[in-house]
Amino acid sequence: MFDEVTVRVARLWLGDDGIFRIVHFPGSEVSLADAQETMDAYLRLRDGVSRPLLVDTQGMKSLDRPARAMYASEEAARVATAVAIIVDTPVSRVLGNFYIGLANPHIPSQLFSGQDEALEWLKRFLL
Amino acid sequence: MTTSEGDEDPQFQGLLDVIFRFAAGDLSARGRVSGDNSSFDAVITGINILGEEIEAQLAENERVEDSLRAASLYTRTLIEASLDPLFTVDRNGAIMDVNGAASSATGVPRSSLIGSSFSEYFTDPDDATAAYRSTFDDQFVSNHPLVIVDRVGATTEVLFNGSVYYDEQGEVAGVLVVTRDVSDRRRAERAEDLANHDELTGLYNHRVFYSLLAEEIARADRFHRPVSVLMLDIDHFKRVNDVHGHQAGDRLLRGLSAVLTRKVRSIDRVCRYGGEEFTVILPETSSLPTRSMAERLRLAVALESFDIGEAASLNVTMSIGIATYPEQLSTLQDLVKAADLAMYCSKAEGRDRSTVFRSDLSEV
Repeated sequence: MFDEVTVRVARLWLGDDGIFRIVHFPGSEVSLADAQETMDAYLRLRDGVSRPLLVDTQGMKSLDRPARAMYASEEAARVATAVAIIVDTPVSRVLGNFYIGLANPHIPSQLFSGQDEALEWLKRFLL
Repeated sequence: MTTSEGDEDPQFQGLLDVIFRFAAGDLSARGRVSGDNSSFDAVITGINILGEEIEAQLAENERVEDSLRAASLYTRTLIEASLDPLFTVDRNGAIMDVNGAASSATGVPRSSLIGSSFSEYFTDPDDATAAYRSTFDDQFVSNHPLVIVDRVGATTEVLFNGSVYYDEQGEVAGVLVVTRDVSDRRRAERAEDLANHDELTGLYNHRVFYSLLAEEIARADRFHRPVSVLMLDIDHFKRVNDVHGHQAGDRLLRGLSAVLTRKVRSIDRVCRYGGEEFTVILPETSSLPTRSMAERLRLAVALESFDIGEAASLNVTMSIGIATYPEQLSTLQDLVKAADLAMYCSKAEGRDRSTVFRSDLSEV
C-alpha cells in the first residue's frame, strides 16, 4: 500500500495494483465541500496520473446533488479513467443508481455488489 | 413498522409527510434517513434524491424561461425601436407580427394587423403580393418601391426590403419585411425636380440651362474642346395663342419639346429658356456639326403636325441661332447673347431658318 489519506468522509489510497481506492466511512453524509475535500486528496495522491477508481459507498448515508454533480463533472473525468462503485446496501444501491442514471458521469462508471468483481473490471482501464 | 392509527412508525410518518408536501408543491421537503441502511432508508433516500432532482430541474426550467423571456424582451425592444414599419408574413400573405411603426403607418392596431392580409395595406396590393412572394422564392428582395395606405387614405412611400427567416428545423418560417419610409426623400426629390424643370414641358428650366452651360464651359476649358448653343424660337407663336387659345399653345409647346428631345443626341441638353424660346447645349461640338443639328431640328419641327386639341393640328416653324465657344465667344454671357443675336437674324431674314453667329451681326 502507498500513502493513505483520511478526509472527513472517506479514506483514500493507491493500491499496488494501480487502482485507486476511496472507501467512505459508515454514516457519511457527503456534501459538496466533502466531495471537494475528497477530490483534492485524490489529486494529491494520484501524482498526475489518471487511474481507475474504486469507490466504496456502502457506509454512505447520503450524497447531495451538488456533490453528485461534482463527481460526475468533466473536470473529475479528466483525472480518472473509470469508476467502479460498490453498492451492496440498499441505501448505497439507491445512491449509486441515481448517480449513474441522473448525473451522467463522463467516464465509464459501473455499479458492483462486490469488490473482486469491481477490481477485475477496473483492470481494463489501467493505462 | 405499523400503520395502525395511533401507533405509526415515526419514520414512516415522516415519509408520508414528505410525500404529502411534494404533492402540495413543496419540493424542498426531505425525509430523515435513520442510518440503519435498511430498505426503508433506501426508499427515503430515493425520494429525497427525486425531490432534489425535480427541484433542480424546475429551477433550471425557470432559469431558461427567464432567459427566454429576457431574450424575447430584448428582441421585442429592438423591433419596437425601429422607426421603420416591420412585418412578418407567412406563405399565405397573412401578417404574423408587426411593430408599433407598422401600426402607425397603417393606422391599424397590432391586434387587428396580426392575421390580416399583408397586401391590403398597400395602394397596389398585387405589387405587394408579388414582393413578398418573390422574397419566399429568392430569399430576399431589396428596395422594392411600394406605397402604404392607412385607414383614412393617407399614403407613405416605402421601400420594401424582405428576407426569409427560418425555424429550428431550418425550414423557411416566414418573411421579415422592413418597409423604409422614403416619403421625405421622395418629397425632396420632387421639390428638386420642380426647381430644376419647367412644369409645362418637363425640360430643364432657364436657371438650370445656365448652370449646365457653365459646367460645359468649364469642361471645354479644361479639355480644350468646343461647346455650342442653339437658341430656338417658335415663329409666330403669339398668333397660335391668339387664334387657338393658350391651351392649344401649351399643347404645342409640349409637343415641340418632345420633338426636340427625341431628335437631339443623348449628350445634348434641351432647355426651355422662356415663353416660346428653347435652348440646346451641345457639348464637344464645333460650329459645323452644330449647324447640321440645327437644321435637323428645324426640319423635324417643320414636318411635324402638332396636336393642339379638339381634333386640330398645327404646323409651325422655328428660327434658330447658333454660337460656339470658344471659337466665336469667350464668355458664357457672350455665347448666349450671340446665339440670341443669330436667332434674331434668322427671324429678320424670313424665319424658318438657322443662322450661325458672325461678328458682323452686331456688337456682342
